[in-house]
Amino acid sequence: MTPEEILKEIKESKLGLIDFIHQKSLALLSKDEELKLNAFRFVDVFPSLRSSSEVSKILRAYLSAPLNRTYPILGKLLKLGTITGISLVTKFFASWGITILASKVIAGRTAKDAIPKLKSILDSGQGFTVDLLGEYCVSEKEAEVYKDRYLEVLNSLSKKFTPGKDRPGVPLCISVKLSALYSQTDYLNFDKSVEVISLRAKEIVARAEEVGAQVYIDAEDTATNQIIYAVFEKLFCQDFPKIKYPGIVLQCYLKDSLNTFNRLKDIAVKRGSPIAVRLVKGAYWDVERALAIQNGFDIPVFESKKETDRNFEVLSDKLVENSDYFLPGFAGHNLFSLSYGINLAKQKGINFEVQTLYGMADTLSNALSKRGVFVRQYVPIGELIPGMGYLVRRLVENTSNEGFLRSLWDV
Amino acid sequence: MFKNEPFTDFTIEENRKLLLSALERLSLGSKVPCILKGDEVFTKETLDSVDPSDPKVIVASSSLASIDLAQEAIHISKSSKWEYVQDRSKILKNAASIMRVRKHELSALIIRESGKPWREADADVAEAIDFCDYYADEWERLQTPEKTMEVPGEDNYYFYQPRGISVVISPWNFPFAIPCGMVVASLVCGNTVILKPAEQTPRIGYELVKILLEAGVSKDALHFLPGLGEVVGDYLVKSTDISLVAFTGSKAVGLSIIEACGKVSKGQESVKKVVCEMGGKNAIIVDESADQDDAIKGIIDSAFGFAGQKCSACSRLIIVGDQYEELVSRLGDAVRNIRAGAPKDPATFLPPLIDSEAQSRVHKAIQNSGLKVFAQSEVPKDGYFIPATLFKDVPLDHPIFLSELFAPVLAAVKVKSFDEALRVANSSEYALTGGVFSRDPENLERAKREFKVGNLYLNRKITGALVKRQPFGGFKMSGVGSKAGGRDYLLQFVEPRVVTENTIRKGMI
Repeated sequence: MTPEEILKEIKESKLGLIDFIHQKSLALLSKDEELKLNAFRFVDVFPSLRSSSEVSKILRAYLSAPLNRTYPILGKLLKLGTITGISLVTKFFASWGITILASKVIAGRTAKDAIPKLKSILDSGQGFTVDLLGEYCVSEKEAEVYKDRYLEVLNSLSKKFTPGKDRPGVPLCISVKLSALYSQTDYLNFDKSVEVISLRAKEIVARAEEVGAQVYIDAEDTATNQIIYAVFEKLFCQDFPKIKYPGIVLQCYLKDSLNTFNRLKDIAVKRGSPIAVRLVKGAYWDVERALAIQNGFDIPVFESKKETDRNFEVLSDKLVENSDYFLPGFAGHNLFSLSYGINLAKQKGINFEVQTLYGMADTLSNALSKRGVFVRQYVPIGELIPGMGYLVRRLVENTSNEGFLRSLWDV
Repeated sequence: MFKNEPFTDFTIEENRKLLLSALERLSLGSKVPCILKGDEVFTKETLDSVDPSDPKVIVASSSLASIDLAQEAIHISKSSKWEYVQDRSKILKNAASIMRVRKHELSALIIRESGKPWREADADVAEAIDFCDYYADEWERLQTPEKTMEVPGEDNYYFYQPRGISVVISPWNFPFAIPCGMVVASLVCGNTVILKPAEQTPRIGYELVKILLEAGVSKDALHFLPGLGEVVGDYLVKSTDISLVAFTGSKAVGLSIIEACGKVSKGQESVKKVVCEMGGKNAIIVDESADQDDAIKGIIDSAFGFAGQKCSACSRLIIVGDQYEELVSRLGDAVRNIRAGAPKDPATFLPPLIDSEAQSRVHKAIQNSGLKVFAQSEVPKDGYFIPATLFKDVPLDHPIFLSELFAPVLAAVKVKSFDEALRVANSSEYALTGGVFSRDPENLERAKREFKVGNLYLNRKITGALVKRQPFGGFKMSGVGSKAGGRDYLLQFVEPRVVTENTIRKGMI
């Protein structure tokens, strides 16, 4: 299987109307860097705004200058749309547009809402892992709410999907963001962070075990990751040593990811049974880099994309070589990186999967699935306000030079 | 090129261990002398400094300088040749190097004597290092005489000379960085310095002076006089022989120093210069477009970090519009969960106040406010703790909303519009720091123009200014003088002179 082959198929596949509009509008925005940035900033703030006059004011502030420069006609339209009286209509359209954008990458507000979409993923022979959006928790009350939402998701999904035996995490799989389970998560509060997060995560994992769901622990920023790996170790070596294929994430853009790999291997050895590893490039490159420079710390991420790509291959090799300990999940939308891992795993004849983001690479997922590769989609569920951070990151990815859609057409 | 000293990366376990072991190694109950001309002088009368989280623990027993010692210090300073020492910048760089090597040891002492939590103690040392490096560079820039204009037949040179004997009176809340900044600024310009540290943190001041002497400062140019403000501080400020007082502390003391220095006595050679940084009653505005998560995080850090004992801390919260109830309620929950404890425990976010006097003053202010506390954190019984406290719906003319408490107490008010928010924010007698959380570009632009404070922060916490990157200082009742860690700061410690020479002689130019 070559990347070129898949690329050809993706290029030939037909786009649905919504995808077409989505792509065209993003392409329009990408013409002008400031327009794009400000449009995304508007998307970010929109769900927090209450009144239509506020929407108009902020829309105008963000977009009127770059629109007048790039698309003068749209600039005039904006001026018209933000005068009093018409602002309600503008708010309606903004809301409609953003809901469409969001529904492309977020499967629903609640697990119940998302069920039809999840079902169609399973019907197409693919799998999913459900992520609950929630960017930050400020109090213990909110941490408890977040935990309860996971329990609730497991309840409602387990009523719809009965456990199968073919493969771990099918039909049910969840991805948990640990830092949201404790409001005082802090590396200087290390022991307590590990203790409290483990306690709450334990409830989630116990329920997951009951309903036969696989659990992935998501990676976050470098400051939080140490706590995350410590919790993972505690949960799946001490509390649930027998549970099958607990999942964890390995971020290839981190310079010390090889050490993390070794640590994960030690955990698998200690458990005496394999763990699932989602191999990603990493989603917070700009912020990791900026914060390190601001604080005068060593930059924890590789500065060039090439080094990250190379490291993805190195770690793919490692995971496949150590297939007694790992079930690799090659994640991302870069055809070349994915093909590398897929071919390696196929040659060795080991069990593996590919993981993609829901709504970001449907054609890719389908093409791989058709070729007998098991694809799992990462499916976020949640309300608009906590979802905006996720949506904006996806939009930025989709329009950056290294994004899936752009790079596909440029290869 | 100047670079800020990086904070210690405590995400690295090795670094956490280094500070832990420095804390274990720290000796307690040491005796702190005065230092005159490099000699250590122990006085009979002493004053103890204690660990504010465990007042039974005596960190140091400090000598109390008498007026006689102050007289002697001034006498020695008069004949100092420090202003002719050429490599003063290099001496500051030496001091920075010594501080770097001893960083964790110094942090440990700051943690115990001033009750600062880990990150902030580490930042205190880093800032001191920055002051040494930055003012050294600044002096390099200033010390070369500058030609004012090119005119044939005439040379005009602009240059600076030191003011003379300076007195530095420093606070306990940045017990290392602030005295260091004021002392090295004055020294590098060629002045001699007599340092009187805060009564609560003499041992940290002693370490600073030892480091500077070790780095090469002339023994007759730097003297250390721990003691009581009303005795030795008062005497030094009023002495006819001094020409500059650099002070950081409360408004009351600051204004009394300015007044005292305004009186010219018989035999006094020059008008005294006062560099004075005082308080703040700083506000954060949150408008309707703000990201609530970011705002709450920023507010908690700004209002309750180091128990609100920073002049930059936030004590007024101004919330625009209908989100008020939701935001205050989430913030209240966050306040209730704040981790209080002994500063030597790395997990501590909220430390105790500096001493029992501060504790009872703030306790009374809360009790007698007549306001209902909306949310409060839990705190340990022992030690000078005051819980993180949130008041809501505070009347705009209430003392809790007007007076600086220097404590973890935050007063929230609701306003209808961004206009009103700016008006309320600007209504303070102080003008030090301020903050706005907003994603409305027009509001952010207006804040830049109309929110009149020395240091304005947009969409981030309002504390933690860095040397050179965010030069720090305010106006109105927040202080006189230019910003610490900024390009004008050293100019306060010098007198400018100009020499004009006519070079035309017998037709030759």
